Amino acid sequence: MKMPLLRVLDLRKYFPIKAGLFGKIVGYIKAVDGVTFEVKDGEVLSLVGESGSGKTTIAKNILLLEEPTSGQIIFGESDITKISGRKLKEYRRMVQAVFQNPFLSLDPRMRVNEILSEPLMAHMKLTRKEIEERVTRLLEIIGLDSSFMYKFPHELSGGQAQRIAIARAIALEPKLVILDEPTSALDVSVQAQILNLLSELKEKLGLSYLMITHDLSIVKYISDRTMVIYLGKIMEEGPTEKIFEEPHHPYTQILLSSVPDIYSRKSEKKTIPRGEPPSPVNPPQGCRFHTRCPSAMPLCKEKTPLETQVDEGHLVSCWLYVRK
Amino acid sequence: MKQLEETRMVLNLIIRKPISLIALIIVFGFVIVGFLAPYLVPYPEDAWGLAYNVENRFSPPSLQHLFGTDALGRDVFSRVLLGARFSLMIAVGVIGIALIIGIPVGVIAGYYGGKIGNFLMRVTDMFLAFPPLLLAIVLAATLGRGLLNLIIALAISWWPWYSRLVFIQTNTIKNMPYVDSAKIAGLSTFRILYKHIIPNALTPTIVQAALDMGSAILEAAGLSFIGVGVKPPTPEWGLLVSEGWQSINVAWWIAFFPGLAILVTVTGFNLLADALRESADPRLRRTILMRLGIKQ
Amino acid sequence: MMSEPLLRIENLSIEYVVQEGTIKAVRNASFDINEGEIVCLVGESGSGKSTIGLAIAGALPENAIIRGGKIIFQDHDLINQRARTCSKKEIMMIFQDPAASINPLFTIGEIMSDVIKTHLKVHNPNAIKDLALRMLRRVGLPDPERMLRSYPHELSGGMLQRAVIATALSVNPKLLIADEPTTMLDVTLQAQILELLLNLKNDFGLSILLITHNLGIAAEMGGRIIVMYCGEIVEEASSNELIRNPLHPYTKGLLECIPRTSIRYSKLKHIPGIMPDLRNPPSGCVFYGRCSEAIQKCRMIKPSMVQVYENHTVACHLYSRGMR
Repeated sequence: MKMPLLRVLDLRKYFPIKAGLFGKIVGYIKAVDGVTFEVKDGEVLSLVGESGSGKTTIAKNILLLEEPTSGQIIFGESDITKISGRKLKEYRRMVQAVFQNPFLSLDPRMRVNEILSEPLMAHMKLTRKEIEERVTRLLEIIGLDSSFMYKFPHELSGGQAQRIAIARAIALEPKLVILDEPTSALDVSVQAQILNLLSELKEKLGLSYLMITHDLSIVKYISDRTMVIYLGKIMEEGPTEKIFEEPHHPYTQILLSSVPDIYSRKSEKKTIPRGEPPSPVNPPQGCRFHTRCPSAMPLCKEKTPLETQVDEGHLVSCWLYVRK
Repeated sequence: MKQLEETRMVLNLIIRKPISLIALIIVFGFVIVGFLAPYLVPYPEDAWGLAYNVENRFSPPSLQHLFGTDALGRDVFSRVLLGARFSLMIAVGVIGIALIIGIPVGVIAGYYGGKIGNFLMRVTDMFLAFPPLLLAIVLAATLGRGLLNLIIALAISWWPWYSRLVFIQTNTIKNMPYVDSAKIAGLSTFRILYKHIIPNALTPTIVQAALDMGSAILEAAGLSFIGVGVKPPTPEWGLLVSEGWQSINVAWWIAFFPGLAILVTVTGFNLLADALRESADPRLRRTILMRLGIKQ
Repeated sequence: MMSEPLLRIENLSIEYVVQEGTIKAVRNASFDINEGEIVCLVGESGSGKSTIGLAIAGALPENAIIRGGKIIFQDHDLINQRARTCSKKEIMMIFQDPAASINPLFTIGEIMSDVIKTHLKVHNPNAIKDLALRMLRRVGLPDPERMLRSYPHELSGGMLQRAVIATALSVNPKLLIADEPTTMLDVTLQAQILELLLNLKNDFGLSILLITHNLGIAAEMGGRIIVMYCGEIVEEASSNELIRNPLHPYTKGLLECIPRTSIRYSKLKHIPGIMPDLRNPPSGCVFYGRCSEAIQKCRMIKPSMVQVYENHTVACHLYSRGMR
């Protein structure tokens, strides 16, 4: 058995909605509402969800860019939600991230070599020459030559800029990299390049990924396990192959059939989802998906479904699969 | 490299438009005169107001006294020329102090937010609630006449504008993914502020500050004119106009020439500001380029 | 014998004047759209697909210059201003971000009545309201009465895009240009909007030019697909034919790097290299630099469109006469 690298336990993040002159709290957006999962060492876990599902909030909590309302995030041995000082710095070194749009995640005023040397200088005492050597080697690893060193982000193509963002993320030899929609801003041909690079780096450097995406089609190429999330709650979780071959949750099924596929015709489609996703301010009672679910039962409106194991490591939160 | 190119590009655009070129020449001329005035004035003692020559009062413009002489027989040309130096000092002083106060307040309030940020912005808003000129007049009157007091009074009415601008910029930039990336890379807050937030937040502020020079000169002249600015015999333009005003029926030139100096300088600054704003906005820049038939 | 097409584009060339030079965004593009047909213009960013859409709709930005060619719509050349005014209401365009394409200060009802007044010269408020309600119902929006009173920000992205489509349809256009209409939407909503577009085509004989970067969407829509690369049209065929029998090496490459949900893959292929500079496009084949099947001829001579099969044309030397 592989050891869990990161464990997220009953994570909740509520954003207060303020109103009036004195900022009275009138309600909460329940962006993440009790999410538990783990990322094992050397594993790629994908978190799939649409906008408003809370997937980005989960990433921000793990990256300590936001503080969770409740719950624990355990990395290695310790809960990192309350750490500071040297421990925080050590955690920063182990957990890195790549964001969606490289042109927003790279400071427009910095050259590539400054961008890449920044994390090195923050964590290690290196001479100038050592830093330069490391930067050159990083560029080599991500497939760019050293002529890119002195370029500004705006002089790069989307794919090249995303490679630089990846280079920065691996500069400190982290254990876990959070990939937040790493290819959504890129063209398809470039998307494939970046996905392949990411798989390659994972093998070469022994990384683990937590990939956050709305695009089910890319999940398959890179992840070992997949988790489907809807309005702040996990709907289904399991080995990626199982999720694709035998999706159990109606939401997963709908999500899968909504992805445009080059070999299928619209007219042949079986399930087109109805309705709009409800607002996370007042999420539906019971199962969060019941308002759009084709197989909703009266029970779904009343009680939150229990998590049921349908196969080894394959869990579904749906009343259809709860053994009576 | 990039900045240099941008600057050259902007300069190029300015030079190609006649009106902007004139503005640029005026502003350059003003700055140079401001620096060199003490060495250029034909009658230094008149200029500083140290000597007077009552026999020679109210003599109209002539070769000897290009702008004529005033009620005390002093050479108006010398006084106007030296006045440029005071106007320059006031403009730089006011904007400089306003930036020194405004930037840190804006950055701290914008980045940290919370109680401190709220407090700082409330203070800023309090200042912004007064009409700036009125505030400056009240302050200047309270502090008493004098060059330094005038600068302080104007700067105090000026800084909240910059702190608000910097606050808005900082607030936007602190949520940019590159700032998140810097945090994740393990940079200290100080380094994030200093390397990422301040440089990116400052560009529009510095541009705005350069654009405000003309208004600072105008407001200073206004304050001096109504008698709450510099002390006589300082040859500040506003004060010169005010002095000349008393004898406008006898000798029009005493008020006219410093007035003209104010008009030309402020217009020059404002036109240059327009040109800069146009060339800084890429969409406007494009249309100018096309209008000029330049294909780069 | 085929009837005269609704829209015929002939040798259209469009340039943008920008700070860094002249971008030759579209070069010598020619294609037809028949009545009641759906045509998908597919390409990556920088391919010139959106520029063509904007040119047809007469919405090119100020710095764009039409260097040559014709846009013939119902026997009028739309490059001629007068003809443009006559056919204004016949061609409607919708965009990627519905929120950015309408004025946030007006309600949906006000926006719709404004469009109806200007284009249809209808001024009777009741007639306008009736028409607006009918259109909102036609695009499947629930509670159209309330919708008329809503401001854009009160609607979700999917609903807003429907409202924009309803507005466009209210003037009864012949041609609807949809520029990436679903890119900002979640997959489940994307599927809904695409289904709506298909229904509009089928039920009302509307011609649609769908501009997309996603070959999967194009394939599902089932019409004709035109593939663009770097400002030029490289291949054109019916969707079935194009997906099953791609001819141009670019199309082949693009198909191979699209992630698929329906079949198993281990690794994605990708097209190496990056798109050439549009300020200075290559004099030979545009794809020469990235093509694995390139021959000497490709570098120097630009291939012209040749018909290889019925309804399948391609611009590639591999299929020119004499080669086959």
